[in-house]
Amino acid sequence: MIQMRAIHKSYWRGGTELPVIRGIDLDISAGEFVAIMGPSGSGKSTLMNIIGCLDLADRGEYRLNGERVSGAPFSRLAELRGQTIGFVFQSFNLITSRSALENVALPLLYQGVARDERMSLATQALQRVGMLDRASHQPNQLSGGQQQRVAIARALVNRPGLLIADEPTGALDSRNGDQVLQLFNDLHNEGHTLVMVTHDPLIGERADRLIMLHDGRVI
Amino acid sequence: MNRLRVFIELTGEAVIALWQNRLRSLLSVLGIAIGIAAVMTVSAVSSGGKQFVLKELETFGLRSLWVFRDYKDKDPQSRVRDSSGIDSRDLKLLKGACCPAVKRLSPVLLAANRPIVQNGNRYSSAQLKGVDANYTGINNDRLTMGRGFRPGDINGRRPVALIGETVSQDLYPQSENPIGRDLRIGGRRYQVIGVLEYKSRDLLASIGSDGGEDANNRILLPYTLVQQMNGNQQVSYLQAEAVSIARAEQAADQLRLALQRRYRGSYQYTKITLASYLKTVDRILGGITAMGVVAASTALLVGGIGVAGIMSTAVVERIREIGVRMAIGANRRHILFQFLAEAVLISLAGGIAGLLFGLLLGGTLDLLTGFPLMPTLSGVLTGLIVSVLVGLASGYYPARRAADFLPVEALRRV
Ligand SMILES: Nc1ncnc2c1ncn2[C@@H]1O[C@H](COP(=O)(O)OP(=O)(O)OP(=O)(O)O)[C@@H](O)[C@H]1O
Ligand SMILES: [Mg+2]
Repeated sequence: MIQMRAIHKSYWRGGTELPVIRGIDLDISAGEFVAIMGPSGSGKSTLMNIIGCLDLADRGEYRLNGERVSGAPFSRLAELRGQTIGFVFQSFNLITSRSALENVALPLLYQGVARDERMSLATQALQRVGMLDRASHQPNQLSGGQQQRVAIARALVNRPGLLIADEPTGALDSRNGDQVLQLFNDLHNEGHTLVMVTHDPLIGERADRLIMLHDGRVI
Repeated sequence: MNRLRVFIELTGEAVIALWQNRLRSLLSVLGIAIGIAAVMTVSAVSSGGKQFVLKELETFGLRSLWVFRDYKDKDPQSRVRDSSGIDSRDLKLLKGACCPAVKRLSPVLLAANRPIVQNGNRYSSAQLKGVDANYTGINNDRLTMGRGFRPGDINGRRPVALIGETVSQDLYPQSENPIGRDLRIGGRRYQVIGVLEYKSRDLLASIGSDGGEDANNRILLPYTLVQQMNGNQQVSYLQAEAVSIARAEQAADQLRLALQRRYRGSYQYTKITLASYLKTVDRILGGITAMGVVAASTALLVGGIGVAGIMSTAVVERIREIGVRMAIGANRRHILFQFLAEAVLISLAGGIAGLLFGLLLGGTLDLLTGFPLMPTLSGVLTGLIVSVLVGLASGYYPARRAADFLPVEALRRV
């Protein structure tokens, strides 16, 4: 599903180059659960953003389902984010002024789905993550774990093949974190491809494959 | 079809966002509303003002013109110094082939002395004018009762009179019909045959007459009788009607030249046409409009800058939301559209509010002053189009900025 060849990414700070991803080759097949670990600053989030089409690599080739992502126009990247990829952030990133249900339904709006269908699909997704009883709550009326489950429902609502989660439990206490992890585990078992950054070695063991990142390289 | 739905739904998203910031949205709506109301008022004043003046001039007959001696002429012969330079014996000539642009013509004679005008013990301060049967037609005078002069009244020197509204009130009790009644002028008896319709406007009453005249305090007499009173054949001035407004100047010049030729240059003549007032009115209104347009445009510009400021603030505040929307599938066009829609909705709402406010203001002024301030349909449409354009112009830069972020960049902002 994912093929990366010699991916490079640098940031520039005050005229000096700061290489963050330094030649990564990565293959992930459909249905795999891949955990990515590594010390802080090793480039995990940067790599995830590139995989999730939120950012662009400087060099190298990235193919998603065989399609060249590097060099695709912005509108195509938006389509991929909307249709093929579901992204879960450490900080949830729900729109604070909208209810849980509206947040979950929002990705469908950009796909041109009619309102009634948006609402019924969003309801299903909320049910899947066990948050249906909180559908009309605003994000600030939900606990961190509940917000993250709503965010997962939002990532699922377009039925993407690929779920990407960057430290999804990083902001949660262990009980909430366990619930969220259990949810990801179930999703993987249902056939979703899952790429997750984590600091928790136990999760690393549960994954099909563990990738260690150090200084922008896979070790 | 699906694509169209996205943009319709995004307009809904814009409405929700505006509603969530309703106080701020309202303030920027107000800014635009003031600008649009100002533009509307200016355009209404300029078109209403023109109609107002036209109506005013119409009560005097828009094709009217006056020709009289220019007393500033250098008169070489003292014998004619006192003369008006126009004689009733000239009339036959002037009504002939000399002056094809003249439709009709009346001599006007002012009484040399002010004779006492009375009916029993009721007196009138009316001004006396000697005219012929054409005069009321030229002057756009209508009668509320009785009849006008006929050629026989003039030629036969019949002692008949047309009186103005004020004269009628001064000389006759309200209950009495003045038609057929007598009045005395300098001891001589005249019979009232008609009452002139009230002329509501006296703003321009002094045009072409001997200053400060009240159109409702007039008595018209056959000019032949006034000549008898004055004891000579002189005519004070000519009042005429041109065949069209466009030829009014020409008609006046034809009369002047004919008179100059007849008196071999002994006198100079001058003219006044209502048509020339039209041009002046146009020029003055044009100037007022131009100034107003500048002021109104400034108000609108300030409103537009207000919208641009609000939208820039919104983009900065919602940058993370923009990132989230991008992460879940929004493309640049979607983001651009949503913010542009917010700006356009604000200014369109401002435009509509401004138009309503302008209508209200115009209607009130109309009621209070009788000054017609109704905006034209094209004015209203222009107002709406302009407000949409202002929204597009002031929203474009902030919206473009929002759309140009990479998703990661937008998400990184706090
Ligand atoms: N926008 C940026 N500008 C400059 N440097 C950046 C930027 N984003 C990230 N970096 C740098 O790139 C490096 C990798 O960052 P990244 O966020 O990918 O690390 P990470 O592995 O996710 O770390 P963490 O475990 O703390 O989340 C860091 O040294 C960071 O300082
Ligand atoms: Mg990170």
